[in-house]
Amino acid sequence: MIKINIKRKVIILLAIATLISIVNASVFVYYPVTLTIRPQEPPVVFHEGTNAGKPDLRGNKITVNIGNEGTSLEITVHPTLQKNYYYDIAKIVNQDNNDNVYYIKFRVTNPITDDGVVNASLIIRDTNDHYLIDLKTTGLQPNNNWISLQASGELHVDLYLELSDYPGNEVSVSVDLIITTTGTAETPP
Amino acid sequence: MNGWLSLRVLFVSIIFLLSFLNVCYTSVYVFYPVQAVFYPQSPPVVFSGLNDFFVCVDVIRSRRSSLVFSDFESLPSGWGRLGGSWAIASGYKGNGLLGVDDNGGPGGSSVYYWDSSISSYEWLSASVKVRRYSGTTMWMGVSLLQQPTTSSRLYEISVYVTGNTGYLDIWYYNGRSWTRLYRSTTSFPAPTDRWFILYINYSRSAATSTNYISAVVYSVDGSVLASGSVSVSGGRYFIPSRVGVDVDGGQAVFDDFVVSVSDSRYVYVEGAPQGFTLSLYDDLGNKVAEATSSGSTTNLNVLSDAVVGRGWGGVFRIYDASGNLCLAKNFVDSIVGSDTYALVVHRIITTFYDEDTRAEIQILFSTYQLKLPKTVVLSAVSVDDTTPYYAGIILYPEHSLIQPDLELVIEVSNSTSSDSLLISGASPPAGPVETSLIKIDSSTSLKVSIEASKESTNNSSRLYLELVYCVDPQLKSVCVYYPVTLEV
Repeated sequence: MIKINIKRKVIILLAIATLISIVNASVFVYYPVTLTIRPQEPPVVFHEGTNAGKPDLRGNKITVNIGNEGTSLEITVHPTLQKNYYYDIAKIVNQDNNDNVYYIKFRVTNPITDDGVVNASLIIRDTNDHYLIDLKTTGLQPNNNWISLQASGELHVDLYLELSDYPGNEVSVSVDLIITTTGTAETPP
Repeated sequence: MNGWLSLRVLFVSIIFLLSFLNVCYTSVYVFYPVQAVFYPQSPPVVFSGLNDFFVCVDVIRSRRSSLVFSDFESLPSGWGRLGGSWAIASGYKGNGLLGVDDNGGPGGSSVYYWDSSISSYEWLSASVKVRRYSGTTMWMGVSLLQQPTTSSRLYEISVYVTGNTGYLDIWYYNGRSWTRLYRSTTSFPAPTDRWFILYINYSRSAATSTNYISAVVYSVDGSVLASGSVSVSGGRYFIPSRVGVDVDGGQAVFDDFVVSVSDSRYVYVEGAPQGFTLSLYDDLGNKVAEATSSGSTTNLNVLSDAVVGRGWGGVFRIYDASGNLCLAKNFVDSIVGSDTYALVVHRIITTFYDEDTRAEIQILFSTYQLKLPKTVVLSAVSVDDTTPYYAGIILYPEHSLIQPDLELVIEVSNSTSSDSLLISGASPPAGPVETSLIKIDSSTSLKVSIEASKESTNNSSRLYLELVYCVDPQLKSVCVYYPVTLEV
């Protein structure tokens, strides 16, 4: 009787081992997986701010370009020495009709490194609060919680630049706006 | 049975582990690209102004060292006479005092004296202008009397005229007879139409009972005609108690009489910065004296007009080191030799940095007054022809040190409008305060003026301000902020 129990256990273990190590076998098994992708209109989009397209210094214009149905943003400004504050040049709008809340952060992917730029920040404003996004450092910002964007809500975007010198003819910075559906503690990829 | 149980446990564990791993990767992230490009511009608005300048506020008389003075425009009160007749006649400027000797005073002279005691003064100067009116041999000058009586001892310091020649004489009268103590070896022409200035110093040593008397005879252009001095002790020593003018042997006219405890040949002005030129005019508009300051006390030589003009005041005109008129101050009160005046002048030092986009302002008060009238300290000038801007000033009290005794008004203005901030150190604002925004363009600048006062020189206030200018004053699409520090 003892001999029969051991034999059965060995067979079972071998079956399990076979199951786990199936990838290493010379036999392939195909299970069908169906992935259904239903593209949605962007629930969160960029809009032009109140002062997009308004006069800038020295006869220039504050240029704000919204692309890809509100999913990309380009800003062009013409600051001078000392502190320059560009007010309400863009907005981030929650246009989800199902009253969903979204959460956003920013990641500066190509920061400003010019020595003539003392400070550079995006200021993200809602009714009660504001958040500074430092354009001279990489990494996820704000550092702590996600910025919530309520249903039908909007966030205003200001730009602050402080120059101590003329850092060449052109200075650029690239940022990702990261949107998620939960205010998760995990780090986005 | 035990083998099947352990297998089931193993299988369930594997399934649970796979499920857990699947739950961690169900969040969705969407990434939107944002790009910003800046094209830096040269400043369209810059600071402008004088870097180091003075604000002349006032001239005030800080000290009067004369004991008595008279221009003899009328007979002065508080004077007495010992002999002679005394009346107003035509003087050097305006009227003068005509003395006619009648031998009725001490030793046959005639004296007109200030009837207040000078006996407590151990050092005095006396200055008088004299002219022979008539007489061929006569003395005209100043008497120092022991007492105001005809029998008094006296010292007479005078211009002695014989024919048309003059000398400096110093005489002593002992109550009965005269002793000449000094006659100058040099002489000078002394026609009747010539005025002389007699300047006398008297001092004494109580310890040695010695009087020292020195004198100079000047022409009205200031050149020395004769001079001399004596020391008197022993039986000829006495303490004078009265001083006055003296004529003996003829008639003389006197003008510009001053007795002082300091040198009455000068008017002293304190507080003028180095290189400033000070001019003094009489009440008739004639320039009396002029001097350039070395940075300490400036001496204006008023020998020729010790009681300036007709004794009815005059005008100080103060010019800075570049020759620009800094202040003209009119006095209606007499300006008299040995007076001391203080020039109240504040200094403003303004320094611009960073291509004239940052400013530091220092207000250095005069030691005589801690009040600066409204003064333009800098301007904001647009160098951009394409766009008007709208500019103002913001004060940040939270970044400033505001002393409790400070009172400050900061005004911004263009040619048509203005606004101001009033800051009281006793109750400074809790947060930022700002003026309204005023339009500037390439033809209209923004002037920033300061009016300030404080009570103590021992503490300073340091204020952090910003000049702000915007392209649109309502939308404030873009605004630029230039730092300004103000030290008071």
